[in-house]
Amino acid sequence: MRRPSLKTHHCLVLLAFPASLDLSAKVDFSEEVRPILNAHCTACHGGVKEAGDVSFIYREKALGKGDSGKPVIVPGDPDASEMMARILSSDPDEVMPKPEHGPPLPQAEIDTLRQWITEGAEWGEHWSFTPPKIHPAPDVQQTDWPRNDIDRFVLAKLEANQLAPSGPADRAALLRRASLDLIGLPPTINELDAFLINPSEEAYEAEIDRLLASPRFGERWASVWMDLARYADSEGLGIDGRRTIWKYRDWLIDAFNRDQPFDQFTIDQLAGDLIPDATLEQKIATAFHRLTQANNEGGTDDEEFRVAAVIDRVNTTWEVWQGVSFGCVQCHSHPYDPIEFNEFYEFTEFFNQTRDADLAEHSPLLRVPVDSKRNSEVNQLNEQIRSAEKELHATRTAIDSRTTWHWPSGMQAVGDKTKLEVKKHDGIEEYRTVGNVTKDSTFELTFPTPDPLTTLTALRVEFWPTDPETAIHTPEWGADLKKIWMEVIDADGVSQKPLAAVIADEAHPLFNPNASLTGKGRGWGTYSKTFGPRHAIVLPKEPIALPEGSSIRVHLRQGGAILASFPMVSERGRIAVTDSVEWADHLADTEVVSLQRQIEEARNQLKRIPTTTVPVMEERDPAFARSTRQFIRGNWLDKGEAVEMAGTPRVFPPLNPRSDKPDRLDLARWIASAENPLTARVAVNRFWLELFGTGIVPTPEDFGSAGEKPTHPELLDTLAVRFSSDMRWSVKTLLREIVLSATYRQDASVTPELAKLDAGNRFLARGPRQRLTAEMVRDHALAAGGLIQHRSGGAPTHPPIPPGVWTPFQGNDKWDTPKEGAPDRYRRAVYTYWKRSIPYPSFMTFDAPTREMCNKRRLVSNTPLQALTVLNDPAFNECAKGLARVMKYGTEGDIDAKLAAGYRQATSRTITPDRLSELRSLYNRLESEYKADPATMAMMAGTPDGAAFTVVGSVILNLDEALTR
Amino acid sequence: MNLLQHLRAEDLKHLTRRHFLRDCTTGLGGMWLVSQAMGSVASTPVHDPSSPLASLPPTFAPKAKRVIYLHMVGAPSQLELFDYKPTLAKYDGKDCPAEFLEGQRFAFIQGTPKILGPQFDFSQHGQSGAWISDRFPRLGAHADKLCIIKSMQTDQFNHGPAQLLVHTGNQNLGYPSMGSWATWGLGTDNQNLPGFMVLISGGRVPRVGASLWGSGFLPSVYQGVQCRSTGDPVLNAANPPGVTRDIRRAALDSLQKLNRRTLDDFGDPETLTRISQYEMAFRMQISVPEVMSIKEEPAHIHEMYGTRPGKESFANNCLLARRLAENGVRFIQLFDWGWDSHGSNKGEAINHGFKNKCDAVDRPISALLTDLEQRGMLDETLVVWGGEFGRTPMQENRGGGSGNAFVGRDHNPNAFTLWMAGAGVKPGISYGETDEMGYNVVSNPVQVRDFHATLLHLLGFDAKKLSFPFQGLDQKLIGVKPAKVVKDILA
Repeated sequence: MRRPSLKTHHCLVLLAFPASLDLSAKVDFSEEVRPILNAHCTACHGGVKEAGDVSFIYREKALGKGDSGKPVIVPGDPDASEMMARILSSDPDEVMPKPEHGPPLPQAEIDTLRQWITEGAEWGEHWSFTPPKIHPAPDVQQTDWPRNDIDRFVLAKLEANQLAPSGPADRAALLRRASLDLIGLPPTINELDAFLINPSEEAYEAEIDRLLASPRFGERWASVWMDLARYADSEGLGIDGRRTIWKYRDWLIDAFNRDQPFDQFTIDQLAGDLIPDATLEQKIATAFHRLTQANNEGGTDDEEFRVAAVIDRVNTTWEVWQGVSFGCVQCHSHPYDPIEFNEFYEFTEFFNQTRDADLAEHSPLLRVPVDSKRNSEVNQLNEQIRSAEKELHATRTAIDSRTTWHWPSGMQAVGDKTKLEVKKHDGIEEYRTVGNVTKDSTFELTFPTPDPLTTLTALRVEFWPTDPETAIHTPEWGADLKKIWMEVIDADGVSQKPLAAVIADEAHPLFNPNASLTGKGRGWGTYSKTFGPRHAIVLPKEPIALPEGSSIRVHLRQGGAILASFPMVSERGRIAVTDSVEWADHLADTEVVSLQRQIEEARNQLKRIPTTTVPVMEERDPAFARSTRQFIRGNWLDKGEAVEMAGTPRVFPPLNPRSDKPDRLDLARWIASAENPLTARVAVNRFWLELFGTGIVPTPEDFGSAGEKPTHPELLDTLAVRFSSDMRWSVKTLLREIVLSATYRQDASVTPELAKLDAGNRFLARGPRQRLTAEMVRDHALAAGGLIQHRSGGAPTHPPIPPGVWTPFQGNDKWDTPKEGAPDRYRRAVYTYWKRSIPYPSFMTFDAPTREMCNKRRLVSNTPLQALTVLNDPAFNECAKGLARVMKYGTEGDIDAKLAAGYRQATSRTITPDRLSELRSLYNRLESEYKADPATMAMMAGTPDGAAFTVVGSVILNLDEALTR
Repeated sequence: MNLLQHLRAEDLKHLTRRHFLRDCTTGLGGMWLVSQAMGSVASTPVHDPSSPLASLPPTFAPKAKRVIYLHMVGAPSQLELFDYKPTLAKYDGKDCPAEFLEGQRFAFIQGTPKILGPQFDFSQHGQSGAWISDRFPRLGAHADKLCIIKSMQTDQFNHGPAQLLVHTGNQNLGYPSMGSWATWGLGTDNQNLPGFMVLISGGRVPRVGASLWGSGFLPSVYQGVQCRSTGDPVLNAANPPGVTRDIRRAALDSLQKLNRRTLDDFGDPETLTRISQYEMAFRMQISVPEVMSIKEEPAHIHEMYGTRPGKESFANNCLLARRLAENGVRFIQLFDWGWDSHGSNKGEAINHGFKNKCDAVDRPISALLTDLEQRGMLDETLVVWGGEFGRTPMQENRGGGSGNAFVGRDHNPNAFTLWMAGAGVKPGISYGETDEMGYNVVSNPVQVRDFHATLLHLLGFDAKKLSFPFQGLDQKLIGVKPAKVVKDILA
């Protein structure tokens, strides 16, 4: 005998899901059994704890024998299953769950488990981990209501629950809803009028197409994505200084505006840098994962925060595209879902090989023209430089491999501020520092000219970590070669030998290595952190003669301290010399000269183009690959097993890598594939959530077994499959279909009966009614006040901010608001400078996150601080004044006409007589009070009616209807 | 999770739970009682959504009705204040013994550091004989009220993460602060004021800013409201120029009438909430500036605290803390910036800036304790004082040179001092000991999470059970590691 499943005990849910009651069918593992296991068992017998060596995450383990030696589950035989015996036991020492952990299982759940074991204890994958399928739209009784298949799925569920859909929304209300939903702005009065005189179906479709084509569309949807991308114009932790990254925001707006297919949109952000012949736009898109927080506070460990950023990239990727909280797995196997501990670190390997390392300069940075029309030109120049650098590097690596290096014998090493000693390692003499090191030390290395050298054509400097075996996964502090110079000592004395070039061991060093010749600039070095031995080759101006009996002396000036504390001093290093002719000729080689000229010319051309920068993802040279290790209990300093190869969890379809070394591009394509069971579902749900206020899966952040199940699973799956197939991942097509549905177009009013039956509007028997988002609250008020200025893109703006709020840690970080009337004062919210530690107050009050981490869902609050903001915040006061001007000067007719126009401007509705009479009596009272009190009036406006209109304007902007869509 | 927890968790996840709560109160109330009766379930407070800050009873009888938390931002040196180490004086100026350096990471120390002896004189105070330095002469007179924990430990040694750990139980951003947990659990006694208020002094905001009093994944109504000492005490509390209280009332009357019409049209319960929140806002416009104005306090009170109206100061904030406590605010959090004594400049060096900071806080803290006691509030108010970590017995030696004119110490997560006074804690005791150098804890270590468990216990909650479902986990202030209530310090 089957009983209602777990959820149906709930009085609300009993009403909500009677359709799921089916008294004869086979027990479904994911639907019915997994929730029981998650609720009662997996806390002790799951992915984290396997008490008694029993776990219910995987079938094979559940069918095994625990420490007791008895089979936990015997398929087909509940009476032989230890699980049932323990659940049914009356012995307090035996019964499960243990009395101190929870009450015994209800009979209904025991029956479900028994039936499931009798039926063979089949395991099922969690619904969202299996591929979605298209479902035929169900038959409905009220055949004249549906406009498309969305409606048929929705109506079938309504009818099964004896509910009827609501009538269509008032047309003005509908246009307001669609306009705010799609472009984040209310319709103008002209747009409303034009729409209202044409009641045809085509008129609505035309309005939707107009909205989808508007350049404002991208601004609205970028805001949504920026929460997921944790977009901010500051670096986050520690000092939270400014970080120039707004080109990513502009890319995002543009991507939504041109309806970039969601799969490509995904690939560009995750791995745009690895796409062959990537465009500048694709490289900018990778800033998505450079939006992780950085810490440039003095004394902080760059590796600690590099690792934190890598972990954040892993978690964010899962949260944004897969709707799965992967973060748990950092410390242990997933407590509910079949994702294993080692899989987290295999996945981490995808992100562990990029060059960025929490550096103060935010490098690597991409140079981007301010004017995006010049993107391809700049991309070409950037690529010219890179390809020439690559070629130079290849040439030099080849020469290096043919070079015979001579190591010193009898080297003396003396440091001025840091003590040195010479030690032999693998037969080679090295210098080592003794005790603590001091910044700006100079090392003097002196050694007899090695036999049989008579000329020196190149010098090799190597910086080693003290322990290369651990450094490859847990790097040591790095070193900079601030300055190098050398002398030859012979019978005539000491003579300094001029040097010409410092050649790095990588194609694209972050800083110019030649700066080490002059001591001006950072020069060559491992900078910040070192994962393994590194070297540079130093060429003299001309080959240096080495007379018999001479000695060579090399001076290595070490770097200063970074982060106010860490001296960039090499604790271990080597030096070698050569007489190879190839190096002697190298700088004059015509090919080398020509490559260097190409680089220089391209750089000069770039200098003439106004540019900004954006931090981007860029892989490290494979020669310097880091070793990715598991962290024991998630602690980055406690390293476990090494990861052999990047990979995705086994529970999902296989990764199809292009080579035997899977990379981020393989990963991005795996995510953006129709075969991935989660990507399209999660995306469709997210867009649905924006339009209806609740997702089809009400927990958009968790599609795993701890999240809620979809209210309309067939609808979600059908839309997901269609999104990735016939809609070709077009977000605009998806949104269009939703907003054209009868479901979306319903009236939003709710009767007490319906409110009781379906408080959360899960059944969609009425239209959505949502409070404006934080961004919309600002944009809407600016639009209603006639102040809004539309200009696409550009550096962040600084609108008015209440006094006393802007107190950045760095005193020179200024909030400069353009003066009244200046256009940049009235730009849309999406352009407002976003500082994580001092977020714009009105956004916070209206539930925007601080964006330190990926934010999957905004919880909508309703607080007194919101009231104070719209009533009193100077920016909103300015909007009230604007609305007063719209009424007083912008509207023809008597006071009633002006008040009606003001009301309509902010609510999109035509005023009713009772409302008008309320506003009129308020206006009259205010006007006479201001007339009687000119001093108070003067603080507000020049005339009593102006002051009265301003207060009325403020009332209108604070209306529930004005704050709602 | 059992069924009841599950239902509750489900419910709380729904933004629209309020409808359900209103219409099914008996059902849910019943569940609440049942769940209270069962030992092992998580406790998840359920609020009436139309007044989310209304007072709720804790799980068991609380010792503390409210908390005043004094955080010295930057981590004051315990070795100059409470943790008296005569041995340290003997080693003063000598090279640090090697065993202290092995395997340690320091934030700033370079070279072989020298030991720095206590820079100020210590003496014993009160019947308890607590050692307190001459930097805190007035506080010394309160020694028999203090419960001094000398064995605090953290695992973070940079300011931002360490402050987050102390205030939210997690070194990452995005977790609810202690005050949010307390207000969520208990609501507050005065519906005209926020339940959790924050006051700042020292000229700077802690670096991680509002995250230290954020509500994380708890509903935003439980976040701390930062009041400022200059300008509006609460952002946008003042009407725009030209709007008098009467005009605002008239405007609000119209607004509320129109909103009631909208409620008739759409039946949206959010509209009803909005109407009530606009009224709360109107009350706060008066109540917040009123409670935040110290001008009317009598002269002897100003004299006792050392307050000067209109100035941003820790003293003003201490007096404000007492006023907020009197007015039923649940959690009052003070941050005082400027305690990071590395010895890198005069402003923060132990022999300069630190001395002045001590002078500036000794009097108001003592006044606060006296004032609370005289008003009969100390036995129901828990006062906490501390930093985010401790400081090293070694002198910091920036740049590796010697003979610094400014004396400083580096960060030490291994041992620091925190004291409590008032509701529910044993007065006049010291708990825990550090080694003879004051570098490591040798007896009765107290982790930050143990402190959190103790704090919640005093407020009437089992920290293992006060939880909020988020991201598939029952999230708790104490996190996932085992935490214990420090029973030995409970009165």
